[in-house]
Amino acid sequence: MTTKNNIICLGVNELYQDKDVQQPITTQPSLCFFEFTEELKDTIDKVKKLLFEQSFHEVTIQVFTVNWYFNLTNRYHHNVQSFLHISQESIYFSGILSPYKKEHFSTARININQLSFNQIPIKEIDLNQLTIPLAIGLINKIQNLSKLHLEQEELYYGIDPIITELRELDKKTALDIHLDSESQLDFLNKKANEIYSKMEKIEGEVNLLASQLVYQIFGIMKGDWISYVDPINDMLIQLQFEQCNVYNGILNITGPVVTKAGVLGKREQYINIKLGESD
Amino acid sequence: MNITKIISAVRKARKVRDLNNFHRIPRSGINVKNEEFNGVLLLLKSMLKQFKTEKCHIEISFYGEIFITLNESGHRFELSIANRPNIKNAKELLKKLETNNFIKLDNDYSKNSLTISIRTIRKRSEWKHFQAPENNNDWSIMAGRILKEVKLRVRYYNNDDYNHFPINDSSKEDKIAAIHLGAALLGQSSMLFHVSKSLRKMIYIESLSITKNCVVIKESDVWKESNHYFGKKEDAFFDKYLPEYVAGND
Repeated sequence: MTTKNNIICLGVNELYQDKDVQQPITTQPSLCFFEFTEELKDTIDKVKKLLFEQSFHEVTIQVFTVNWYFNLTNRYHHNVQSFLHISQESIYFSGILSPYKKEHFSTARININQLSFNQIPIKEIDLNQLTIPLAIGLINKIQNLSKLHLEQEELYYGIDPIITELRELDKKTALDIHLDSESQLDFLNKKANEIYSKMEKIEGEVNLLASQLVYQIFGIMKGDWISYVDPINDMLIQLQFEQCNVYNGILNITGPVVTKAGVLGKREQYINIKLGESD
Repeated sequence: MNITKIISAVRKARKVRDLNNFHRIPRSGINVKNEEFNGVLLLLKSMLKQFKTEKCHIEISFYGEIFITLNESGHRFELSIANRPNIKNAKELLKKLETNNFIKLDNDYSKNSLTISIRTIRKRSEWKHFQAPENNNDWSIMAGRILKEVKLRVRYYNNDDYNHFPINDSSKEDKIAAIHLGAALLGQSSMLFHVSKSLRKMIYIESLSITKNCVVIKESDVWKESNHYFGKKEDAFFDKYLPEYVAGND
């Protein structure tokens, strides 16, 4: 049985606006055709995993099955080196026409979800998955780091009033309080900055663990459409996963809403999931 | 010219066919992927054998164009083999893409296939395309079909072809393409890079000649003529890519 709608046609744009490297118009294709096969779909899925695991932004692969149509000469040139660029949410193609050495044209980006032949699959969030050992391990790590973050936060906000009070005291009193106030203030400021950068680092680690939790436990990656039934009010929430973070022991997943019509809406939607037992 | 010599001429001409990437009116001939080229040559050989048995005269131009002249009428036609997908409405697709990011096409626009195209050497003559048979051994039969088609066409011609032109000349477009290719190959250190850049700004080029050590460009305005002198590497480049060029620098 043949699959319908698996040939994709894309418009092509010039890549360099710099006049010195601008190529003659005959070397600029107008259309790009490629077949969205199961094999290509698997490659994209594998690369998406790699992107996540290695924290890559984009992976580029050389491909050999792309056709570039040159409208000016009504031709398909075959000596074009083609590259497929895959990021978490989208793909695009670029190319080099011999004898050039750098890519000088590329297609528009296509959202990976839009490539699918049928309706985009919506993945469900099953809260029962949070009870498996791997999830518990990740949640414990997140909670420990969150605890550490909270401690640092308390320390940071504890220093702040001291600095303010010292400044006030210095202004109000005419007496020399035999404190090298400037150096003490400098020291406190330095300490506060150190704590702040530590807090940021912990926050980054927590967010990374949160995205690992979402991926390894719920199997959700950036760009995926997800649905969730809120256990408190039984409300169905559907969104496209854009980012996640943990605050106060709550995993927060955000992204554009998926409307009832099955398309992406403009409104931002969020899902809140409580991790572990509350204190 | 025997078949082996014809095939080796096609093979030799392939080395200069990258000029087509920069050409406004690309030369016909064999336009397939590198890995398919040798296979296509074998198929071409079987076709040419058939043409020979029909006493046709076969010529290969410097740029690898294949010209076949019918023995009885003296009419000449051009033969081209290309690998291309079955997409006929490219203009329509371009229009659609003005408002869409991408278009999904049906499977009718399926995979690439070999297409054999012929065109008689007459004003306003158009290419006729034949889908290459899946069974590769059938190419001699295909040659027979092509000959039948051409003979049918030429029956209605009441005057001679304008086929007196030499097949190994280089047109103004060939020279412009050679300058652009030279610019890309030799890079910014070559004067061709700068000539190519200035050519792109010109609206109309009346004539362009490349002699021993100079490119002479005459623009639409008769008085506007520019000379661009070049050195050894450009000389060697033109010697390779332009059939009529006489190398100057020793």
